[in-house]
Parts: sequence; C-alpha cells; structure tokens
Amino acid sequence: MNVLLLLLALLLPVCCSQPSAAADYHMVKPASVGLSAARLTNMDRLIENYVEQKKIGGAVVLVARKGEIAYFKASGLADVGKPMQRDTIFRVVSMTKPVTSTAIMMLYEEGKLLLSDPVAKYIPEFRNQKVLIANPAGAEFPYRLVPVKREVQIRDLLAHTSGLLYLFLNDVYPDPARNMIVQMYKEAGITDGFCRPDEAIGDMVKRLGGLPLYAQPGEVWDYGLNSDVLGYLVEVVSGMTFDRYVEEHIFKPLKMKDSYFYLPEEKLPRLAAVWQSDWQGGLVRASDEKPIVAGDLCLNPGDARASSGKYLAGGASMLSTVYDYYRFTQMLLNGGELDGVRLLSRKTVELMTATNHIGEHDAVFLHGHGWKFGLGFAIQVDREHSVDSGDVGTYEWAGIYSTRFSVDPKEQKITIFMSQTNPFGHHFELWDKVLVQSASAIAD
Amino acid sequence: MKRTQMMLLPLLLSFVLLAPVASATGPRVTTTLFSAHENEIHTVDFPPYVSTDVVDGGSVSEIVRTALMAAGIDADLSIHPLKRMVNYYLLQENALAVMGRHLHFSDVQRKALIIIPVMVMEEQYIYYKPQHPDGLNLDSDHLKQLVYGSHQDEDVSRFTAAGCTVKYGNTMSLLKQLRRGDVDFIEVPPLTIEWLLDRYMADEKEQFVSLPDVVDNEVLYMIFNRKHAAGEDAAARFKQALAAMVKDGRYGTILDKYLGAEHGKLYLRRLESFSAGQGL
Repeated sequence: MNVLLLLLALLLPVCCSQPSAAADYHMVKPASVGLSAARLTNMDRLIENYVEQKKIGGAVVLVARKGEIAYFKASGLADVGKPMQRDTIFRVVSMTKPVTSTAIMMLYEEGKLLLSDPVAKYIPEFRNQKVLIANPAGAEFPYRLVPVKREVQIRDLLAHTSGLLYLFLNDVYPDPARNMIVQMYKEAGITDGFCRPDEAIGDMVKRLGGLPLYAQPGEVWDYGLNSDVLGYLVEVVSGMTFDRYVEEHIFKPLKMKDSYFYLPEEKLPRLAAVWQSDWQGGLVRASDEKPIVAGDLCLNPGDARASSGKYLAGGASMLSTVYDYYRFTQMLLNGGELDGVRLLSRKTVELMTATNHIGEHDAVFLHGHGWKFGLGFAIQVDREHSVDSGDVGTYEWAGIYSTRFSVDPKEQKITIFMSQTNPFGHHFELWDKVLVQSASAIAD
Repeated sequence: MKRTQMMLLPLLLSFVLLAPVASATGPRVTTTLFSAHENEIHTVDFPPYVSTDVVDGGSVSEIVRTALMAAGIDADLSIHPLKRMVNYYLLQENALAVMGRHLHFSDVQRKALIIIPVMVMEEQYIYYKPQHPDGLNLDSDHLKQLVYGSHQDEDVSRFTAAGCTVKYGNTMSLLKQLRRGDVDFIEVPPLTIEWLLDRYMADEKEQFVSLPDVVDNEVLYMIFNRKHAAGEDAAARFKQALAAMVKDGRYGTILDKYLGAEHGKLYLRRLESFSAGQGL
C-alpha cells in the first residue's frame, strides 16, 4: 500500500506537468501581473470578429507578463468540424529562424564558432564568392561578377546581411540583378524551402554557396535563405543532424513537447489545416494534396503531414504550439534561462537583441522604418516612425501561414498569435491590432 | 652575462621561434581575395566525374589536376553549380580554361578556343517504369508523342526532327520530371544516373530503367582560351602531359581508382580514338 502511495505521489506531478488539456496550463489572473482582464476581453472580441467574418478559420492568442500567462485563448476552427484548441499544432515557418539562431548562439557560447568566422571555414562552397552586377540594358552580356570585398560571415547569416536572397521576393522587389540571381537559383534547383524539397539541406546549401550574391556582404539587408544555411552550419559544427541538435539542446531542455521538424503520427490530428482567405468572407480549407501556391513561393500545407524527410530548413521547417513557442520566447526574455535551465547567457541574448547589426539599413520587410534586425528577429529601435504599439527594444518575427510573436522586454510582456491562413499579406492589420490589444491591457 | 641570464636566453628565443602564430579574432578573409589567381579553370558539377561530393573531386578532376601539375601549370579549379557561370568566366572574364560538356560556342568564339578531349563517356536513354510499364518504344511513330528531357545546350536536333517535344533541366531536375511524367526519357551517362539515384532516390532506383543500347558518346573537354595570355602555351603543355599520362598508365590508374579496371580501360580506349572538337 505504501509503495502504491509512493508511486502515486511520484507520478502525480509528472502527469500534471503535461499540458495535454486546456486546464493544465498554469495561468494567473491578469491583475496579478499588471494586466487588465476587462481590456484583455477586447482581444476575444477582435479575434471572434475576424472568425465570424470568415477572414480567418481560427486562432490561438497568448499574452504573458512577468513570466506568467495571463491570457491564452483558442477561437474558431483548427480544421473542418474541429475546434481550435490551445494545444493545436501550427506550421510556424519563419518563426523557425529565431530557434535556428539560438542553436548557432549556443554553439558560439561553446566555443565551436565565432560570429566573425567566414562561412567558408565550415562550408567550402562559400569560398571566393562573387557578387552579380547587372550590366546596362543592351550590353553584350547581361551581368558581370565581381569578387566579394570580404567573405560572408556567420553574423551576416544571422542578420540577413549576406546578399543571399529568397526567390519569392523577386516579385516584391523587381530589380534586374535580383531577377538574374533568382533565375540562377531556379536553374540550380534552389527553392525557398517551404515545400520541403526531396533532398538533404546540405545539398541545397552547397549549391547556393556556388552561386553569385546579390550584394556585397555587410552592405545590404535582404531577407533571404540565411537561416537555412545556418541550419546546415549547425550540422557541420555539431556533427548532428539539425533537427536532432535542436531537439536535444532546445526543445527538450525547454520542455517544448509539441515542437518538431517532422510530426510524429500520433500528433497529426492536432495539426491545424491551412485556410485560404480572400479577406472578404471567402474562406476555404486548403487542400493537403497539392501546393496552394506553386511558383517561386511554393506553399504546400500537406508537406507538414510527412512524418519523416530529409529537408530540415532552419528558416522554415518547424511545427509548434503557442505554448511551446511561449516557452522559447520566455527563455529569451529571461536572458537565456527558463525554469532553472540556461540555454544562453544574458550577454548573448543582449547581443542577439542589439540594434546595430545591420548598420544604416532598416529591416523593412515585416515592419517599416524604425526597425532594425538583430541575430534572428526584428527589433523596434525608435518611435519616430509609424508604429502602432510596443516599446523601443521590442523584438518580433512572423511566419508565412500567419503566425507572429512579439517580446517587449521593457514591459516583460510576450504576445503570441497563431493562425494558419493564406495569403500572408492580409494579416498585418490583424497582427497589429492583436499587439495593440496586448499593449493596451497593461494596467500598472 | 650572468649564468642564469645565459640559460634564459635560449629559452626565451625558443618561445618566440616556436610559439604558434597568434590568430586574430576579428573578421578574416582568405588570402586568395588579395592575390587573385591568374590561372582560373572553371567547370560545372557533374557527378561522379567532377564533383566536390566525390573523393578528390572525381575522376576527371583528378586527371586534369594531375595533367596540369605534370605540365607545370599552376591553376585554380572551381566547380560551379551552373554551366552558364562556366561560360561567363570563359567568355567574359577570359579565364585560362574551362572543362565540361554540352558547351556550345559560335564559330567566332571557337576561333579563340583550343579544345582538348579529356574523357569519353557512354550515354543511354533512361525512362521511369511506372510511367511506361510496358517499356519505352522510341521508333518514329512513338517519338512524336514523347517528351525528351534535355540538358541546356544539348544537341536535340534529332529529337525535334522526329517530332518530339523537348523540356529542359539539370540532371537532377530531369530525374524528377521523369518521375512526375513531365518528360518521357532522358540521355545521361549510366554512372551519373547511378550516383544520383543512390544519393537522392535510392528507394526508387529500380524504377528508373536504361534502354540497353548505347546511344551516344559524350565527351568532356578541356577548353583553353587563346585570349588568356598563357592560354596557347598552357594548352600545348596540357595536351602533351595528358598524352604522356595515357601512355605511361597514370591516366588508366586514376580511372581504375574511380571506375574499376574494366570500366577504366573502356574510357581509355575511346579517348585514344577521339578527335578534338567532335560533338562539341
């Protein structure tokens, strides 16, 4: 009998620590962390309104302050006939990038690499790179290649100052040199990695290293395939596959129990469907059988249902929950530590969130002017420009299926929004409103 | 000088002389950035013959490097993912030489080039069995309904003349197009197919079928540039060194290392009977 009681006593805390149902998450009253419960209900109305108008299928939103979750709500549908749950699993896509940056910074702290190291030190294909310069129209040859003034460094990959591109932005920023490089990417079988190509990430990265850069390293800020290269760099430096490294060094220590690069079959039922929205009430569940966007920006929601594969994109492949991602961001907000487990030093997090990595450039992609880019995410640097919410020092990034996180160190506040809706461009207004609701709930 | 000072001097000197060179922690660059190599040779990735993924760069890389060394030519060999980059370096930057196949040049361009065959390879037609479960018939009636998957700059005149549609891609993308049914057949050296399938599509290797007949001889060339100051002299010395390697058995030994003795001898025989420029 005593043995049974002992066993029960041992098992009870373990069972209770698994957030398998909504009630298991440890939450506090908003007032206890300086948030207004009444004002947070504005968030309910905001999301429910978007769901009712069929602009989005559903969403999960979390607001935490001073290390405690004060608001955590699921609304709408995760899939046809399936309500959104707080433990629904999402394709976080580009929100993989801060995790990849963290893996690199852990190797940096272990003395395995320096941010000033040339990438070519670890991936020889990056040696002697050239920059493509478009020749004037009518010239005998359309471009010329000039040697890099200095090699691409690991810091450039973290801050997107390498001159590597994403193909899909060719439509957004039309430019002859960009177009020529994108054509070369296509010819060499380089993709943006969202569609999980049938090859190892290292094979893609090696080909990418042999192609011309768009600009001199350090002289540009251009959102590109940098984190994918970093993911492969983790493999080269650590000797482990990228997914295994992240699982052992980040997911497990932070107890991110629902975060993966390939989902185990038993968790597939928790994966949200992707919805295609015209933002005017036309909402359709996207097919899992074929890409919803074919072309350069290849988006295929069904790829996330693969239980195994070779492609491990440090810029795009992660699947996670709002709660798991909260644990990751809380670690960053705490200066590299969560629940007694330290992944990074405070000084390293300070380095990642410093605003001087991209010089005079602004990180004008997800945000506008007034935002810089650190070593994995954008950082608000001033209030002189048009900004709806947040404080100077707030760092954020988003995912192309409509996921977003925001960490406000000054207010010790984290906001995470996750939906699975395409296209991406419509969501800026909704995200901004979510962040306004989160900020305006501060009541101390 | 006191005795202790005399004893310390050699010790201090040994520290200075034997200590490792201090390394800076700031940004660093390769020395080649400051001393650009004047003799650049460019080629395109073509596994298993030329590839950074193969030991020593593959058989052709090793043959070329050995011949260059024997000829006293100090050159830097770069392997690129795209053929158009190889053409760029040859024609726009007047590189010393390039190495490759399916490199087409205009008559004017050819006058400035010295073309030396390095290796001759068999090519076979490959198709994807699930798309053609009863086999692939390439007689004139069937060809009209088929799509041929071609590499850029490959000579496809015989297919277009037969009424075939042609789609383009690199070898890996052509294999994927075969699998999707976008193209019906391609022409590739069997060793390349085997290497790529083992590496990328091992589970489906048996589904890619070669037609038994050898359809073509594909030649890998070294192409020297007369517009480079050392081009003509280097070409003459390279040709001589390559011939000597064939004669004294070094060429065969390298082929044996990569391809096995049987295959190696086959490649060697063909090279001996091959005239420069054929098929280019």
